[in-house]
Amino acid sequence: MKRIKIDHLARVEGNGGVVVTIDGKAVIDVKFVINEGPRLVERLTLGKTPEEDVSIVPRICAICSISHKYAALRAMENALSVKVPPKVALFRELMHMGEMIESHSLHLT
Amino acid sequence: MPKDKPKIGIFELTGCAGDALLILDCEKELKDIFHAADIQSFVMAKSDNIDGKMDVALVEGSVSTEKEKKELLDIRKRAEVVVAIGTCACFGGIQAAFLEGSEWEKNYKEVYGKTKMTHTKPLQSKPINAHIKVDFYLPGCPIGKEQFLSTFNRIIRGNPPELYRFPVCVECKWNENDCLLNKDIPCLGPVTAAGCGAICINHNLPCVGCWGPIPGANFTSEYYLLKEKGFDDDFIRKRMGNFSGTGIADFLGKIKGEKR
Repeated sequence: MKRIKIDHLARVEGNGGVVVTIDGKAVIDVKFVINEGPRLVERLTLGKTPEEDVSIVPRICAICSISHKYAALRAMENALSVKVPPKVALFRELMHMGEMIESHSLHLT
Repeated sequence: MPKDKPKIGIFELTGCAGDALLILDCEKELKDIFHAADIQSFVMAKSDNIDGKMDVALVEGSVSTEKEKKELLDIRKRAEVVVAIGTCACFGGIQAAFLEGSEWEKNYKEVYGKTKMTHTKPLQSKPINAHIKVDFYLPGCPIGKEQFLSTFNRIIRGNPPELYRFPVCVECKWNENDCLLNKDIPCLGPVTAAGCGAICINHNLPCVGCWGPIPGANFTSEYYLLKEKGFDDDFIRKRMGNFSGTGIADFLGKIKGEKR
């Protein structure tokens, strides 16, 4: 029985590892190990005002901060049944696309 | 590789990896960075990492598990100089905004229930100086390119970094913004480390303090200023505590007597 153990996967956001167990020519087990510590972001916005909320959630991730802000805005708007004007929606989408291009191209470095 | 190149390690603890990515984002300078120093360990950039003695360790993220604590103590032993990079390493970040230990435990239970982490024990998130001696702090969420490059340039030559010694307000004035505090908007610019270019205020949003407090920040003055503007104690505490983590815990503890 052979084991391949990678403690730190390189070039990924976050900390993770992989353990692969091989018997002869067959892979019999693959374990993905998440080494990331708990950040408790699930509770982050409880007890906060909506205004605080939109300023805190972007800090969940410094590189994809727009996605988090965008999601928080949409969640709050859904909760309050607020409809944004089409121009605002388009601007947001443009901003989001921009972030996606930047984030993906960063990993091509 | 010549022997005299300084050996550098770049490490990530719990956070978003934004600081490591910011280093990779220095596209024009990246070749120079790898040329000027012997980057021994940088998991975000490469897979052949060496765990040996090094001249400088750049550490990102907060300590949030037993395993990370062990790793950090080991890094300290192996490195001559340790630099905390980013808000999470410097002050704990958003995950360290819970000031009381019991509050963290309650939050942890409510998020994970009875599920246990199998290979390590979770710890209440703390900045790295809660466990080791830190030589220098490079603030930012994420760190700024300009300040990182100048810091890197100096530390690989054995010099201490020269960080901006002024708050966000200075950059805000350079950009000729109207002061939001004058409009009774609760801005934390006066107590927050500069380097972001006052990006929020440029867009008419108040500074929330995500780069953490500037050394020597006058929290007392900011506290009473906001109070004068009609904000209550609870609001101001939460505002100031959201990002500065342990950087402001002492101050918030001291003003306990001020509670309504």
